[in-house]
Amino acid sequence: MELSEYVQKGFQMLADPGSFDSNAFTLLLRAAFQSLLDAQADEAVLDHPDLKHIDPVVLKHCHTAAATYILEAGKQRADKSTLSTYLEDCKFDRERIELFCTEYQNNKNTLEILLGSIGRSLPHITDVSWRLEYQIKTNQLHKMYRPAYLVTLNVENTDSRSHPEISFSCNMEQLQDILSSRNASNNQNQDH
Amino acid sequence: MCERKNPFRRRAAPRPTGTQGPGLLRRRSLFARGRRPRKGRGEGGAADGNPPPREDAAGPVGGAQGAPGVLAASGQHGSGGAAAEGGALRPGRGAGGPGGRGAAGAHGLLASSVAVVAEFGRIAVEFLRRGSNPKVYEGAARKLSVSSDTVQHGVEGLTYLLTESSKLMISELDFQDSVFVLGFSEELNKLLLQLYLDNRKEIRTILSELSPDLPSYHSLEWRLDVQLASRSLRQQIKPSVTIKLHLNQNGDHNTKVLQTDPATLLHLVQQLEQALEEMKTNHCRRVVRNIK
Repeated sequence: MELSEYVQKGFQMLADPGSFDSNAFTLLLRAAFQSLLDAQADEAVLDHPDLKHIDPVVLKHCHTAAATYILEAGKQRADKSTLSTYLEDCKFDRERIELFCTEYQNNKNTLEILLGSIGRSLPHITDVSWRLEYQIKTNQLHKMYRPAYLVTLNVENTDSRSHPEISFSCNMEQLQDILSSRNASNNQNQDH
Repeated sequence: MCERKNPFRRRAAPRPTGTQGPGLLRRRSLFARGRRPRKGRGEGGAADGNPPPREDAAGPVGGAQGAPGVLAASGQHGSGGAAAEGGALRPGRGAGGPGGRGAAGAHGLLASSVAVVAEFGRIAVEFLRRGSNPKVYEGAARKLSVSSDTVQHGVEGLTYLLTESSKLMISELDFQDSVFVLGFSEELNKLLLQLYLDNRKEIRTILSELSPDLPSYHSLEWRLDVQLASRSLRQQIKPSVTIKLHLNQNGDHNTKVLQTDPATLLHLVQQLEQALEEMKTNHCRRVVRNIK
């Protein structure tokens, strides 16, 4: 994993037992994970009494470094050995490396879900509603007597967070048509 | 059928409304107007015996003015405002009405030549399919040595006759009754009936396109994808189904590309299958059986 100077320096500071004792280290680590993964993360996540004795600039630097490292590790799907290697290079002691890896393991799933949801995709269908009607006449045509379906697809757009809807009408044969293609794609899904 | 320049479609004005059925259900003629005292001017156009249509509609009523004017040469022209007279219809009198102008000549013309009417009928159907083409009027007018206006009214009248009959889906007997009052020869009546019967299905299809339109389904394509990586996360396996939905609206073709995941897809399929099942329930069957 390639990480910048800034991150390296931050980690070296973090590794130093003089600046960060065990407790502080744990707190900082947890804070880093929390600010990344917790949607309602408090901005004052670093405002813990046990961290007060550390210079705020240093605190911020280390916090940023840790967060960057976590994201990069998550992105690359780093395994334990990769993590350990890098941390060893930054002069972390055994205990801290273990702690880091455990925390990472605990939060891995959430991290991956978060990272996977970033990005553009096509409008995503979330739900469907339908209406069945029986048409009798219009002002242009009397004695129609045919059933028709109005189908509405609820669609979600990842970037704009808008929820447009797509509505269309179709008759019974067309609905059968839609279903047979959907079923085909379903079967393909299951086969693979 | 996308670029149909249907004369009806061009006009924004509302169509004559008083044309539906009790009159026809009781087997009155489409042109029954000729038999009853009229309410006054501005109520021209052929329709069933009941409240006459408004005159503001352009297409069909323009044709309606033409229809009685030319085919039946009744005295009823909206702008002419001649009061109705019971009984037999006469050659057009309302010289003010556009139909009136060519009416007298056209009446004699049409009544005498079945072949001409057959030709006009063919032109009328063609216009319903593809939109009107004034050049055809010129050609026909020259051949018959009448003004092209007359030809136009004749064709418009036939168009109106056909669309009204197809719209209301009247029976043969009703159609014959309607045409009978126009006072044409037996042969001509038979020809008109045949024209109606041959073309009514197609005309109904054309008319059904004029109803208020929601986008309607055309076709659907799908594709199964698996996302392997993205900028923010490597080594993924994320299956998704990409769907291209083709929709039609007012003749425009629209496509929408959408995506969904397999779980949602299952849900969608379930819901839509339920929708189809509904049609087969007792309730729906009863409704369909009883509304006829």
